[in-house]
Amino acid sequence: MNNVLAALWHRELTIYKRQFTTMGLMPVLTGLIFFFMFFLPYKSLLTKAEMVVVMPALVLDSLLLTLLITIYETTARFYWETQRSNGMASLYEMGRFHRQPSFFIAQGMISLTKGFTHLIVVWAILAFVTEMSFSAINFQASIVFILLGALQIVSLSKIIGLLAKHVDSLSKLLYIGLFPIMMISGLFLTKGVPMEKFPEIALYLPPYNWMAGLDIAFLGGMIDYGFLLICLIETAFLIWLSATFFHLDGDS
Amino acid sequence: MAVSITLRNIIKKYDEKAALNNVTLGVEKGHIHAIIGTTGSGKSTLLRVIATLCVPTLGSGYINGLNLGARQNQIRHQIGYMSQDSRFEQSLTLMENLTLHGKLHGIAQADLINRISGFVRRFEVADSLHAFPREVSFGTRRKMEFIRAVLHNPSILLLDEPTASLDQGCKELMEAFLREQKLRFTTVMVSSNIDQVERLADRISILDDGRLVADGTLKELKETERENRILDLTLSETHERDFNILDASPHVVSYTVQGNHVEIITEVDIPPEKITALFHERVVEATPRLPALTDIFKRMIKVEAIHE
Repeated sequence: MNNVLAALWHRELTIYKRQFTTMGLMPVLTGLIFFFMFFLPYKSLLTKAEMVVVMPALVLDSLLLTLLITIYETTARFYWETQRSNGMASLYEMGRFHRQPSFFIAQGMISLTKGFTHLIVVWAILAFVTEMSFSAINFQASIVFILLGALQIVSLSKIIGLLAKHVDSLSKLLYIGLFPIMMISGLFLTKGVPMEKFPEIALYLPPYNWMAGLDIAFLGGMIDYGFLLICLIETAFLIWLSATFFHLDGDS
Repeated sequence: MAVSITLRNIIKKYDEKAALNNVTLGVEKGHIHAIIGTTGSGKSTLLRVIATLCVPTLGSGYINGLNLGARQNQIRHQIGYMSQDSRFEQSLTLMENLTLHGKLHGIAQADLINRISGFVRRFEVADSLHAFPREVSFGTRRKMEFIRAVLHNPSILLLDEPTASLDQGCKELMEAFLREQKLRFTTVMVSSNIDQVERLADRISILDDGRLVADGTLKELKETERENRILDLTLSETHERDFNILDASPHVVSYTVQGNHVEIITEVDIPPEKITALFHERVVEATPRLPALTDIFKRMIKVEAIHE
């Protein structure tokens, strides 16, 4: 495990430094651009009191978007490349790592580390720009849901990376599939809106449960154990599913 | 001598087409085993089956005593594989590619650097070590791929056309290495270079349309042709009736015509003059010779085609 993690970490860091604009700057900028895209019109349209309610939800959405893009790009592309692209396939095929838990876990850990690093950068910038008070945020409660949500994204990305036949479909799936689901789920979650008022269909959106739990933790400062339980089950299921795909893929 | 690779009745089908049809093969430890065949005969598929990259539809096999179907991960650890096409990660330099491979195999940093330095000096590619794969010549990339295949000191080396399209210098370097390190590896090599196979291989298998049509040492394969002799004829001109003459001759086993050159396989005790007399004064040059591996290969493929 140590060998694999060290080797993959070194690879990831080398490529990250070399392609910093696309791998580092772009995900961070996407989160920030998303924030300002809504923040500027809201600021002119809403009252100060309304802005206080909307702002934390907008910040949370930007953070999640950054997390999603970073993890997805790191994980889905990596698995696609190791399985489908000539450039890397043989290297991993010929090691004892192919379909090995060490390989699976190591890349997951790298994705999470990168995702959270970008998240912290965006959070720091937004905290500075919005002068948002951290005192209202329950970090301990939030981190549980953010971590579970990130694990769900890692799992989904692995499945997509293993299933996608062409590299182009990775971006299509991100921007047509995951991206809108996350945006729609998140935008509805503003402070004080009871869950019962949500359209019924929204309850079936995949990231809904962890986002709802996160919303309550981040904005309300408490852990909703019902959502936490559902979130844990969902996360465990997705990890199991991606591990199964990972294990089965590769035979020709 | 101990057997490293054993394949029994391997069948590999893609949809309904059989890429490998009932192939049984044994490779002894420390031997260089060459696989030759026409394009699409299943050579690379066979190599991928041994590498556990391709699961056979039917049949069984053992690599160093490990079951091919059940112990893939252990088997892969013991294999160095050089595929036919270039497989490097383009975002990393060649050094980084080699380092990544070594680290994944758990080689300690200092040892890894030593091994890489030794290999790049030996294969004369030290100058290209810090270049990206796209920046170096095809020959350098192939040498680096060869280095990557042997870097983790595997016991089995699988080489798919390792020297195809390389210059003579590159070929000689790789061949010298394989000869010198022969006992360290059990090598299975797919090659279209018959001369190279004759120089290197301890044993040769000929594949045709997924079937193993011949298997043996060079001496054993030549033995199958001991009753034949080849007569290379250059004629001043060829006529349509030449085919009829050759077909009618009881001394001619088979023949091929390419322009003004006719290659005739005769029985070994037939004097060449008996054949040259068929073409009278049109014979410019006549060279009798014993069959080489190329001739055996061509004949094997042809015999199989006739049987079908």
